[in-house]
Amino acid sequence: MNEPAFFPPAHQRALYAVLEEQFYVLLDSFEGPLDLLLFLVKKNRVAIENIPIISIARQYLAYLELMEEMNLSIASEYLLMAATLIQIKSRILLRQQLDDEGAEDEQGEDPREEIIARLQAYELYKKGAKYLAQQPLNGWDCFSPEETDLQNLLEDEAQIDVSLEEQYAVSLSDLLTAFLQLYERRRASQERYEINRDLINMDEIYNRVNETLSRQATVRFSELVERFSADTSLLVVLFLALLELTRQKRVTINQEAPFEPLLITGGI
Amino acid sequence: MSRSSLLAEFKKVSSVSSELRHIKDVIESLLLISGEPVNLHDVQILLEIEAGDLLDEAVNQLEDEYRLRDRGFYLQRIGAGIRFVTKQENASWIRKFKAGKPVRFSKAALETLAIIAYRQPITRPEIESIRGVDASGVLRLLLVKELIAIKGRKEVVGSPLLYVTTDKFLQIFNLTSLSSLPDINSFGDLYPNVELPLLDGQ
Repeated sequence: MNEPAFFPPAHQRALYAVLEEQFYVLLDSFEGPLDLLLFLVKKNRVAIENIPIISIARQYLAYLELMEEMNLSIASEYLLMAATLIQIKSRILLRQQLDDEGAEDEQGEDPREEIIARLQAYELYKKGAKYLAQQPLNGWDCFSPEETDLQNLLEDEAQIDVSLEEQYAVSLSDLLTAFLQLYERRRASQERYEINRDLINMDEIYNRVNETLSRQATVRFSELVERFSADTSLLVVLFLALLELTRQKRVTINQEAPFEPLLITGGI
Repeated sequence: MSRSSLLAEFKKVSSVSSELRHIKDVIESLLLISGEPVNLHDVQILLEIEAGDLLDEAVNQLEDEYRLRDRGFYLQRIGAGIRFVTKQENASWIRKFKAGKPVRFSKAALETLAIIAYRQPITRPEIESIRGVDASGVLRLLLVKELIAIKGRKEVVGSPLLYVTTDKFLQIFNLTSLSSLPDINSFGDLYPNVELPLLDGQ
């Protein structure tokens, strides 16, 4: 194997000789396992429907090994394809053995059938993509009138002023698009937020509830809420504490009739 | 033919041609100022005319006139609309004038767009089974760029979202309509080989 004279750092796009042959390929230039497989088929100058699975599988695995050697992470899709190729290979070998033993059993189905169909479909759409890539792009190869800034400005303003019906006339797609655009913008701005650690302790709330219940046998839920209403997070913890106390059967919650006040009783 | 009937005929012809002239004028003005393709249905409502011959004739005449004039731009049909578009040979000057940055679609984006364009409406798992890789990232990007949109859900287990291409896709890729895409099966002959960049190891 001839080694390239120039060895770039492993983390950069690197050129490497693959197998015993002298060709070089951009290691991260494949769009996935099918792309790699298609590349190997083309390199071997065979038609997809004649894919020599055993030799292609060997080359495919050698390629993954190379990636591994370079500490490139191999996406799980590549490993799944490797397993699929090995499975097809073993089915072919098994069938050959059966043939050699003169087995009468005719196995009509070609084990390669599915992978061939997938490769052919992928190749078609890859060429479809190439067709799109060769189309003149509006905004690069040719140009059309654009909205002026003033129009954009007025449009933004108009958006604030739309009638209620128009506000509702959005589709799921509109919403998702809007959300994703916002999300991207937000991510781009890289704002940082500080999140303060919560200083309220659940045990403390337990104690305060217990203390109240030791002074009066029954307390109204609304009273408790009022007492804790200073802080929203305090209320949330109170609610959680009550749920937990109820679960532990340390308090019971009753109501005399629907819509009557909720009464909390300590102990059972 | 009597003189009066000739006159009536003349008036009829000239009123049709003046209406045609009027429609062409308005469309031309709209084309100049509109930031996106001028939808012909919108024009019909705007001018309170009937859909059909007169409008078609106006557009056809404009299309021919701009082509014959052979100027820096011409009229192009896109989806249900029309727009002005500059000649391709002037692109480098316009790019220089606008000082735009080069734009390129990734292979992943192009492959995904091609699959959606040909197979729409299509779900993410279906796209992934053709490309053999996860498509969520590229789908999100294409949604943000408004080249694709979501159009309902497929009535199968999990009711996955269905993706379609948008008018903006047609506009950007200069496609008159989806049906103007070549038959997918014709690609077997159109391009002899998919070549990856091969570099010699100097």
